[in-house]
Amino acid sequence: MTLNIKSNALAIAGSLTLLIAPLTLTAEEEEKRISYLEQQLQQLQRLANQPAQERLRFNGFLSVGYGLASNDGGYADFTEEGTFKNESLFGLQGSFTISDNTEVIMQLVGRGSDGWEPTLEWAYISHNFTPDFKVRAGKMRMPLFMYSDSLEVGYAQPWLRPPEEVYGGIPVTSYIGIDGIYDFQLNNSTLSAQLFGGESEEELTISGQPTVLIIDNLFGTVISWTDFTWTLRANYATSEISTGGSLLETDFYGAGASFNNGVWQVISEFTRLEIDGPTTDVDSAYLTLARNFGGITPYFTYSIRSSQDDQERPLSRGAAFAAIANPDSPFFGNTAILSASDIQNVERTAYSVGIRWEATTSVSLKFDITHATDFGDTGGGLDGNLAPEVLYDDVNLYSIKLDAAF
Amino acid sequence: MKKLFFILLLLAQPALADVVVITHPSGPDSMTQNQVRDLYIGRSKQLPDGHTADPIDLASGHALRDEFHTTVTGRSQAQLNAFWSQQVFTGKGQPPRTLDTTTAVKTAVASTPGAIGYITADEVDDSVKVVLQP
Repeated sequence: MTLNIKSNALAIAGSLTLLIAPLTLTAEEEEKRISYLEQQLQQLQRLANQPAQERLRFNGFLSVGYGLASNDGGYADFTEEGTFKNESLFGLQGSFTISDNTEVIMQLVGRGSDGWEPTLEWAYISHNFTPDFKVRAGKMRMPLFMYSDSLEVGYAQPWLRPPEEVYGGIPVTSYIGIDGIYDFQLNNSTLSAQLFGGESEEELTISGQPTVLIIDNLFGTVISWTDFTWTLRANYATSEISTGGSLLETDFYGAGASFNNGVWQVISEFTRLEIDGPTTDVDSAYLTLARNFGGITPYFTYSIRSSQDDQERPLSRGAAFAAIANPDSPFFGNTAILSASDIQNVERTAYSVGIRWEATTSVSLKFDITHATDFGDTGGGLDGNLAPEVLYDDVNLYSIKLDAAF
Repeated sequence: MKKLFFILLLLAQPALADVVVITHPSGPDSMTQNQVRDLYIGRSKQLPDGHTADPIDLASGHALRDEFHTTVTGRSQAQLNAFWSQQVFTGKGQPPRTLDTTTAVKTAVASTPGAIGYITADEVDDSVKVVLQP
């Protein structure tokens, strides 16, 4: 850049000399030179005044959250013993501009639940082939939900936490692969089409058991449209998943809509998860209504979660536990049988009321009370209910959280 | 009663200066509010004439910034911050650069082809071109 300015300055100096030296110039030639000089000057101004795009930028976010549940059912991983661990985290993102059209983005996230040890959540290279067509490769968020990309950036969200009934159901949030995004610029709105493919392997805790979840042959698409006030989104993903046994074909469907006119905000999403065999298929949905009163934005969320293939798990939880406990049974000591019993059925409705308060620039403080109930004959998807008897019929979760972005 | 409330509301507001959107003299003759908004939310990167745009915002806390965004993007500062944190942390883009004063904005716009900014109407002179009076 500096070099460019220098060479331009030299060019102008050179032109000036040329202009002044031959005094025998015709008026026409003089005009030409002046207009050439003006062009040079404009170019120079542009270079001098438009700051060079910074090659390296850092941004961060931080959340400190405390949650306390009315029982030990483990709703959103909270119990009667309140904790800061689950939802406290920090993120540090570096964006490295390699050229005008190419950048590398890395995001480190350290979570209280992992002892604050930073892990690489994003690491991808992105290239714009045209202003409207971008290809990315590396480790990225699996784009299953409207807020998948900013899943852990609490400051970007109206809620204290994304509705647990919908967002809590998918334990894997990232994948390694490649995607392409094409933006169609319409009259005053943008339609984006995204295709992605890849795989993932993560160590997780599922139903209280440490598990390695492998996701293979992941392919999907996202279509979204926005005019800044309205956003509509539909997505589909297919993959083969395994926790060590056979590969199960898995399909995921999502649809979402949001409205934000600066005062009212309405957000709604519906998702459907279908997995081969007795592994639970789930429908989930939520509707959020928020109203901005200056720096205070109260919200209300209604959300549901319901398993759809209960007929594939005819075994009762009582029979399953009896078989595990019975030395004469072929399933003696084999807890895997539980996954084929009705202990995996889920019915749950949750109501959340909360407030987001803009404490200061780029810092918000949120309060939330969530009441989850209507479990029907099921354990409501709570880990604490994976026992011979259903112990908890409902649960309240009280939370406070500070979110910052910088 | 409603009328009285409205009058009180007007009285309670500090006098607002008229905000005008300006470009370099080589810029387009006029722009629509949506064209300006799209530049300030990073959805569009070019001026209507095809020039690469260099949108300039006032620094946060400036009263004219609040007025501009209330009118043009329809978002409060907190909502804008939340919007940009979503854009930044999903790799979609960075907010426009900011300058501290309208004088600095005018000087930068006057000397940078492609630049677009906003100042108060009474500061306008020949060095810049008014493209929108929102």
